[in-house]
Amino acid sequence: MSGSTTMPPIRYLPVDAGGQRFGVPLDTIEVVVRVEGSSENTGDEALHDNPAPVIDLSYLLKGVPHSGQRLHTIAVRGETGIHALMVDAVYPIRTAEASRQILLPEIIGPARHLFLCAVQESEQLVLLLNINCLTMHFASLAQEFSNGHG
Amino acid sequence: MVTDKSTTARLLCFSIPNLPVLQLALALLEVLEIVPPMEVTHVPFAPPFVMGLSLWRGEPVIVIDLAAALSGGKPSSDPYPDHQQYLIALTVVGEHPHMIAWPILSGSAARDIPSLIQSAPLPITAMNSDLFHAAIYLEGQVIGLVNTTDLFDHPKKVDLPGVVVPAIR
Repeated sequence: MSGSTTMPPIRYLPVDAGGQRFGVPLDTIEVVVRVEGSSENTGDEALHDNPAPVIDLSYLLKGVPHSGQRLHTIAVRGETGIHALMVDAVYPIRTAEASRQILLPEIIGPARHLFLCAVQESEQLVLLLNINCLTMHFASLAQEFSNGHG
Repeated sequence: MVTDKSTTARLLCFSIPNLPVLQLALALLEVLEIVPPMEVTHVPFAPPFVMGLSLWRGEPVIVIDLAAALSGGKPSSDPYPDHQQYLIALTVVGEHPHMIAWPILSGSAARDIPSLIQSAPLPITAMNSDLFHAAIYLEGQVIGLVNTTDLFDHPKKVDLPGVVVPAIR
């Protein structure tokens, strides 16, 4: 179902991760940090004063490690606390009006819950991340990994 | 052969990339449109046979690799060749209508067939038989009638740790 007038506009930060454009809702963002240097210099250093689990968004969503170029770290606040999203690039903030918001059909399965909606940007669709769901998913994966390797 | 030519059904017969030897058909009532190649946005964590999300007349359409769904194989690594068309179809999952689409090869055609016609075994045994209403003989050819309503009930679902998903039906 496409957007209706009852859906409020969503301001979001467009980002690139794994070669695809995604959107991070602005109301979840604490800070955005440009990370200089190579892939060895990752987001956890940038957020040194505020340690947070670092999520390589490229790897989580697309299964490929981040490019190591033009890295940015975005501190987002979810129900499980602050997480640092590592992305390949960020772009100027945009606003998704209700008419451009498209809810993902329920038949797509669990993926539907990781994204608030898709936003139509010219010819392409941009998936807006559901930060609460994404960080809970990541925390759960981390716990599984920890249990499996403890 | 059992036939009754007094009534006919209308089917759209087509073939798909990666399974070109298999002739498939869909009831014409389920077909919304055949369109040129669509812009498809990949959706992470979707079932493996889902290529992504697209828009058709402003409405979301789930784009699938039908060959991967039918065979249980991996989706095509090159799903968007320029020469393909996409078939937009209406399906019902649970009680809700949804639009889905998949690439087809050129040469699709609407055909009238007798409503009573001889059934046939699926020519490829590895196919997921749940995703076929039946297979029929038509003019010496075996045609698989695709059952889209069970596509998304298939067990190849992605379990997402930390995410509780209500059942569709």
